[in-house]
Amino acid sequence: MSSQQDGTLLKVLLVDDDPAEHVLLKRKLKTAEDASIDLEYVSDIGGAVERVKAGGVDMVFLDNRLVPNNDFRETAPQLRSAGFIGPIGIISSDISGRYFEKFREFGVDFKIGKDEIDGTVINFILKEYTLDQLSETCSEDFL
Amino acid sequence: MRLPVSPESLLHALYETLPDPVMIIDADRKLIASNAAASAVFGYSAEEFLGLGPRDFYASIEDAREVGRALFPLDKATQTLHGQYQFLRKDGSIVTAELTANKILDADGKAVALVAILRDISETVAAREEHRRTESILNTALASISEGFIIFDKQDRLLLCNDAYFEIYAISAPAMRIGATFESIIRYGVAHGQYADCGKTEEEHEAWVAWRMERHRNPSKPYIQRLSTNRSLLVEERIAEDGLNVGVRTDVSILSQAKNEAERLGQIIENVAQEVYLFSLTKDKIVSANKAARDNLQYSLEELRELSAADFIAGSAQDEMNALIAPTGSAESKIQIFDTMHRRKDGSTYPCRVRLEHMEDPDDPVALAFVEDMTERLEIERALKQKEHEFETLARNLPDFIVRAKPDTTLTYVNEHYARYVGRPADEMIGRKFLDFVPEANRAMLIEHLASLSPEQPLRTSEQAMPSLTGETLWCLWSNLMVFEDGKPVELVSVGRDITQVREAQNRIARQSRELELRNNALEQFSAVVSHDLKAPLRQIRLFADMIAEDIKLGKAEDLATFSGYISQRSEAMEAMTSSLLEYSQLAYQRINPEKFQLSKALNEAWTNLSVNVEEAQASLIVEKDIDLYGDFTLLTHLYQNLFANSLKYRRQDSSVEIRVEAQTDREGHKITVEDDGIGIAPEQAERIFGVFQRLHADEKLYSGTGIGLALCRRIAESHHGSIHLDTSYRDGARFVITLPRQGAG
Repeated sequence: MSSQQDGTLLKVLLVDDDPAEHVLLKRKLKTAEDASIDLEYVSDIGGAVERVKAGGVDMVFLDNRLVPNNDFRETAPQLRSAGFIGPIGIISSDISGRYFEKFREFGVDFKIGKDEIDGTVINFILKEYTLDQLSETCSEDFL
Repeated sequence: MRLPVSPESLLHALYETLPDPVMIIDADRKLIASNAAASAVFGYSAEEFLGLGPRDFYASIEDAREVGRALFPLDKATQTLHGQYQFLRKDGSIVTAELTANKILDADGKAVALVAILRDISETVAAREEHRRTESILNTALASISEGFIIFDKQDRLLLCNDAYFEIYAISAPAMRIGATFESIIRYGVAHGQYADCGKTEEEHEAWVAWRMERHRNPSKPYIQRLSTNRSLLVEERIAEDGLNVGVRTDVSILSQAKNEAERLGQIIENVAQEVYLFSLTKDKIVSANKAARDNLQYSLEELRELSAADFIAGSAQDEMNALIAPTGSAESKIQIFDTMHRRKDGSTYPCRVRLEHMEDPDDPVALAFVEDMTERLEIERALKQKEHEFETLARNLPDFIVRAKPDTTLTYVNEHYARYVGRPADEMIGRKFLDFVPEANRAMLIEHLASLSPEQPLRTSEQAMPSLTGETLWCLWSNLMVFEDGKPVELVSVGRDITQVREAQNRIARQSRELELRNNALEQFSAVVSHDLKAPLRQIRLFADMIAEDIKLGKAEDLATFSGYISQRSEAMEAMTSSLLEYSQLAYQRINPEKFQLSKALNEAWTNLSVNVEEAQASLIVEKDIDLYGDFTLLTHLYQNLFANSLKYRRQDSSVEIRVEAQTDREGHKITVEDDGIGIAPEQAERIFGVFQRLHADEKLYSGTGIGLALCRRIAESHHGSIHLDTSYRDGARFVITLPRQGAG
């Protein structure tokens, strides 16, 4: 069950300065079983802030490196400052940097390599989310 | 028996010849007759006696009354009286006599007169008195002498014993009763622990008692007896002519102790390593010499006693020796100390120091000589002098500062090196305070430093900056050692080592470590960026290729062109990145080949290389001032080329570009600014733009590039020991400030 209890689709916001990542994620969501989500895309953090302020976003997939920012430590707090309280997951081609270990300090709920994202993972994340908030176990599993 | 004379004649003869005074007294107590002896004793003539009354005879009236009451009147029943009374002579002297009075009866038996016979006992009384007085003196004498005195009679029973004896044998005292036998007394003493040497067992006690009794009965020489009270007694016993056993005990504890101590002292002197001699000054001979003296001189004591001092003192004339050992009257010259040579029996000699002390005994003046064989000492002194010389040589040649001082820092020694540093002769510094030569700024610290030295922590070190005479700063590592004796400071030894070069090396290493850390951080970031930016397009290429394959399998063709377009785009990006990395790696870590050239030459070269872009952007270059640079021409040209390329790329749309270069040189080095009138860079990005693959603009169509140009610029500037940064105060475009050292790339 990947939809919410009231039957509406989950609204997932992808924030990535590379449009190709939007194309790829859309394709993965299509192939994922029971992944009934509504994927929205913005290419910069400014757009993402505006979008979460507008409301209706259930979860954010945030690219680690959004030009001209250095990494999520500069962008994730902007979403929290905008009042977004839903799960934020950092996605990146490389999550081996040591600074990723402190992701919780910057308002991030989980991190995941872009290479790891496939239908199974998305389903797992969504199921965890639909139970309530994303549990810590989820993020730990992906460490 | 019948006598040839009549009784009257006989009585008369007796009366007259009796040596004792005889007087006849009538009923009225008047003397009516006396014999010749009475006149002789009392000094009265026979006529003078007649009519004398009792008051004329008795020395005391009480005696006269007593006798009168006993015999008078004559009809009293008392017939006779015998008593001792004192009588007066004619000359007033007193005579003590025994009075025997008998009444004379008539034919009727009536008492008519008294006959009194007086026996002069003055001498007897005097003898008794003398005896009593003598006995008293004896007792007093016995009581007053400290020696114990005791007498046993022939039956060995205690007859006399003075207080001292009781006090000496306090434990045995209860047994010392008059009449007690000697054996019973010593057995009591043995049983109660009186004697120290009587043994512990019953058998030992018996044996000791038997031995003691034997000595008591047959006394010979005095001997020392030890008591359990730590007293030593000299026991002297002898049998007197009348068979009495007289014993005297003298406490010789002190003497024994003194004897023991004297024996110990004698042993010590005998065995000390120093030679000790005793000379008789009158005989000029050795009286005694200890073992060290005998061994060193190789003579026996008997042989030495035949020698005079001159016989074994080498090289001294007899007169000289006589003068040395001659008795003196003054106290000052009683002790003489001199160095000489002793000659052994085998003829060999050795140097020695003699301390001669004259003992001014008038009977037999002697001299006591303590002789120290100086052979070893002189060798040690020679070795010490050699060591001192070596130390001085070492201290003189050591590059360190060496200072010795009293605890209050009064200098006692400074080596030449420190004296040169201070700029004074070493001799002038001796006696002055160490602190006087310490830089003012370091004095408080040194005082605190020295005050903290203790027997537990006598050494402390500190690094101090010291101005040299030439004005340069010298760094010195001072080690201050306070020498303590019995907990009190006696000397300060300070050694200072010039560590200027070491410190510079440490600073250089620290600086290099910091640089290395920065470079490592940069390299880490570089690795992360490269890893990310190279992985991302590869992953996308793989995914799009998979999607194409899936769609073809499913017979779907509508997205294939899009997917393949992404693949091409990502491939091109990869290619550009790898080219940039190659360029970076080739230039960033290239060996510097410094040369001297003009700035304008490098700028022209860079501008020419970008001629196509320059033309496209309608750009112009303005160089305000030309300067000489010393560095790698190729790399610095590349630096300016990258800056120009950035200015051309990030220009305002539909506007020409003007790039202005200014240069100036001052004491610190060259400062070159490159500014443009383009879109500029946000101040918060001032540092990030110098990172590898850092781009500020995602729009590839508008601002293409790999984001490696400024990273390369910084690398080239730093490799020349210079820097590059963005002037964040500049608002009309972007302005980069490059600094380069005057001496070139070092």
